[in-house]
Amino acid sequence: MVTQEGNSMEAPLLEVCQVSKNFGGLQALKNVSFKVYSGEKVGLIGPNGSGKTTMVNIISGVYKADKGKILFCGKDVTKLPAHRRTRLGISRTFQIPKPFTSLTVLENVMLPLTIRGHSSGHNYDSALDILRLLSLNPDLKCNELTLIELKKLELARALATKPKLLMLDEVLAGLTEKEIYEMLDILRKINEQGVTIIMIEHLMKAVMNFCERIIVLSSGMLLAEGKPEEVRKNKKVVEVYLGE
Amino acid sequence: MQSVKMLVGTKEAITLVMLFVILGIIFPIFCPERYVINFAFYVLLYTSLALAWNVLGGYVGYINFGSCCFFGVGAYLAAFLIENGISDIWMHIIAGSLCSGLLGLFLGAITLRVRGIYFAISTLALSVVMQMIIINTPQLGGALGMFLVKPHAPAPYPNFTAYLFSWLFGVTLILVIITIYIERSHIGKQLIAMRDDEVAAECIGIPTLKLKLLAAFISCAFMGAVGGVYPYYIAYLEPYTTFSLEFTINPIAMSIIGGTQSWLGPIVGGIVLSSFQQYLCTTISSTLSLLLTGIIIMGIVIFVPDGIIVWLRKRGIPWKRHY
Repeated sequence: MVTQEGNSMEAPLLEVCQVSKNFGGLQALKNVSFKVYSGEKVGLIGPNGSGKTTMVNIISGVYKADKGKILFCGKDVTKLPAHRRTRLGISRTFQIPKPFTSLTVLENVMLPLTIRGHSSGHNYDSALDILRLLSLNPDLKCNELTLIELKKLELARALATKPKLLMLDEVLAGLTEKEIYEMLDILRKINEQGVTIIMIEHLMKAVMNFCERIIVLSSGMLLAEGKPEEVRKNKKVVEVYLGE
Repeated sequence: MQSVKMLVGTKEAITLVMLFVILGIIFPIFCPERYVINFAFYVLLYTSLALAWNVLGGYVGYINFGSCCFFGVGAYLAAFLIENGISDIWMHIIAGSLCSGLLGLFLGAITLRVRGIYFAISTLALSVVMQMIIINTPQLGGALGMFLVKPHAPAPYPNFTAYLFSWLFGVTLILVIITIYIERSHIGKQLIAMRDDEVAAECIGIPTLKLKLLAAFISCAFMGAVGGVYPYYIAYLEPYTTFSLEFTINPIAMSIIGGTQSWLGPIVGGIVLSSFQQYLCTTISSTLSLLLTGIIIMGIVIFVPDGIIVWLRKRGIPWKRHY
């Protein structure tokens, strides 16, 4: 709610300006621009192959944009490698969980903290705090985790980088309904602690419930943007995405 | 300060110094037979190459198929220095390590940006190119090679190989200390994370390219350092054996046999495989030894795919894991 009124005054946390990306002949993103404000919960939706994950990869620095700019906290980060962006406060999870399988759950979460410095005691405490928030057992090995535990580990590791902006790539996919509610509760708590969230999701119900603002991509282009109820009524969105 | 404490406890420091004094100095001085010291030098040479290879190949997972090239560059640089009147071993070691290290860094800067086989292919290509360059450079002996007269061994040493052994032992010990440090410091965990998943590692803030280049520099520099000790040992340096596959394949095989995850792996693999090779070479025949070595490598890869160290640990041999 606040963001809608605050838009013109407040500087955006993330600004995506005219970003394009090609993979060979396939144009994954065409001149996409949007802004995300501090503290928001934004949903990024669109049909399969609409460029959502590519967008996350470009914002996090895994891919370089062919054209356009990414501004974070007013700073141009377009040319920065991914690890520098992470240190500035951009963090993400992966659609297919990528745990460090040689390390334990605790070590997975400790690692981003040790990179940032601080004493090992302090890091140990912060890691346990994060794991407690997600109710994840620190002593487990990565190869014995269930799907929801793997997704939680992705989230825990991303949180351990102390992000300002957290991008969640299908963090709910494959979870049962009960698990989805559990996860959404956790995400709300994270957001209340001041972390801005961009959520990529296929589950419309969850996204519409959770997010304050929705951005819709279709075939690499920005199709619509607005509050969940506006987007739900938008004719173009209904046509390409919800299907009628 | 914390990192220094992590590296060596007082006990370990004493152990390392004792090890150097006993194995690195007293052993070669009082070694009764020339064959024994030559045998030991051969084993140490391959073990140190395996350790160096493992820094990039084992910890980071980028395969270097050009160990012979980085080793050969160090060796030829030393030979060049000898020809020009500089016979100090420490100069050969430093020159060799710097030159090979920078070569590795340069190659890495071009090819390590992308995950995949680019680095492996380019090292393989570089070793062929380097051999061709040497063959066509008469100043470096060309295809005929260079004869190097071994100087007299300094006072307590019975022969020059024994003296070189002390130097090579020192180089290897420094490399062991560096690898232990890498494993125990936070760099070790970052390297493990990179080996597990490089993209995820980059996304949690690990400077993957920087670490890869660091590993490439250390790995190649030590191959060059080992090369710096080689010309006086072999006394006749020529491009076909110096740039032979033996120096490329053996370090890889030794690391894999021993286990690539810890510094002990290449040491155990190196000692086991090279003493076995040398023993068979002198007792049966040099051709048959290759055949038997091949069978052993195949056996280990099939039955102990994680290497001897991991196999022993699983059977409860109590070596402490540091990661």
